[in-house]
Amino acid sequence: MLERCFSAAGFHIEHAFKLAGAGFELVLDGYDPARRVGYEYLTTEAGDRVELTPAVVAALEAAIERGDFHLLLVDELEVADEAELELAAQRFIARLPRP
Amino acid sequence: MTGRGHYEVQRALQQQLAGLEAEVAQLDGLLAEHARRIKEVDAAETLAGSELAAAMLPELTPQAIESAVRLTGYAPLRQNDPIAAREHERSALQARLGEIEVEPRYRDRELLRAPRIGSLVREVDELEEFRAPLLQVWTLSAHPRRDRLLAVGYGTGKYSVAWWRMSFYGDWKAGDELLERFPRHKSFAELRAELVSTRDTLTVYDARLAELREQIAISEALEREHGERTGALATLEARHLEAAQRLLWGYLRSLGMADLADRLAATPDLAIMYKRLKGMEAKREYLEGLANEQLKKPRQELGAAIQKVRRDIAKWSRPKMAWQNMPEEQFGRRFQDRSERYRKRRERYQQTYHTVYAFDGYHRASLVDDFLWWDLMTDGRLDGDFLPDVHAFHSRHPDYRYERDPLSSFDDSAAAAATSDDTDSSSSLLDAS
Repeated sequence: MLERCFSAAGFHIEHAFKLAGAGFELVLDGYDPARRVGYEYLTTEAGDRVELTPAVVAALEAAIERGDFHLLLVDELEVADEAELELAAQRFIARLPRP
Repeated sequence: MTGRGHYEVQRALQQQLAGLEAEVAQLDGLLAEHARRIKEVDAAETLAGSELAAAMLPELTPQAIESAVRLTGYAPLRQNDPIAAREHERSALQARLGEIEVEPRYRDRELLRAPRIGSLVREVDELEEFRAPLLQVWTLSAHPRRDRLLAVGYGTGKYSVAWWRMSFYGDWKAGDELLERFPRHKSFAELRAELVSTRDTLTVYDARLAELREQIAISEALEREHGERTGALATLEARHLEAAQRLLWGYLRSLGMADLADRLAATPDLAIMYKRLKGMEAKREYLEGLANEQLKKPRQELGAAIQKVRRDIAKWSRPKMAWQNMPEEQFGRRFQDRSERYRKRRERYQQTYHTVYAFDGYHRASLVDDFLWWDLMTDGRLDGDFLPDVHAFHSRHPDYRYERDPLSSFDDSAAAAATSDDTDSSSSLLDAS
């Protein structure tokens, strides 16, 4: 669903994209390296909570805040249904700075 | 081999089963009647006991207690000091009533709780009235994310959830949904101000309402307690007198016939009441004994006999028994008609039972050690040795002989029926085959 939304908005999403920076190194669920936009769907099953420790999340958010890239961080526990996720993705994309 | 064939044996077994079941039904009927009568005897015994105790201790005064102790020898009645116990309770009741009566929540209960006009009631009504529209707003704003939105300051400058987090969009969506329910507000900030105010006011109102309701509950409890204690004070005398009489009665129950002979010699009315109580106790024992020996035990034997016949019916139904015969002599012994014996046994029971049950000549008893109620009740004409009490009495008094009352109106025919010889009475209900 997330891939569909991002693709519909013109992003070229690559799966399992390795992203590294100061204080973090992780494999993203979807990322457009050219536009530096992607998303990460955090699930317990995928071990994301082990990988994304508070320190890693803090480093990641610092990089997002600096504008190094833009990521939508979705925790599976916060998603009630697909429609909610779709609305969130559309609103996220709408807030991205124009290229 | 000669004898009765398979079909004849089966038919006889079925008839025997029907006869035994009919007899069980008869005994069950008599047991039910016994249960009813024993209740009547219990009630009469209770009445006799309470009347005797009331006659011996008509009031709770030092003089009355001394008189009762003299009459019965029951010193614990004096030692337990029922007057002190009564006065102790009276003091405690009066003290507590005094405390309650000066307690404002009792004293001013009408002012506080009168419907519509009591100050507490009126305040509750007013608060409920003010609370209703707020509760309506609060209920309308019910949303799984409402409290979070208020807590994280959604709609204000304090809101700090990053826009790349899913929770940012969850909050956004919830905020939109809530705002839709309150079209009078243009922004969530406006709605938030109303919700925060509503929540805080409701918290204050609810705390006050809980406080008021607690005051009302305390006032009601005090009024209830006052009523109960006033009632207890009103029945104080009667309750303590009754308790002392019950104590006395309990002691009288433990006494034998001769134990009060000397003490009651000067009070013939009380002596008669005492005899009546002791006679009723004996009557109850005898009736229970009769029912045990002549109904319950035979009923158990019949039950076992029925089981045996049922087993035999199953046995004689098997195909391999189809060509079996039962020898004539065995058949005759096994299937002899016992209905007459059963009928006689029941009649004997009923005659004896009725004789004991109907007995009312308690005044004719003697307050002596070797006195047997059974003989007075049956005029010495019925053997009661099958009863444990009667048997024990005869063992204790081997030289005892009952002298019949020449003026007795005892029904001789009843005695004759009750003592009629049943030579087979001790034999098995069902001869083994």
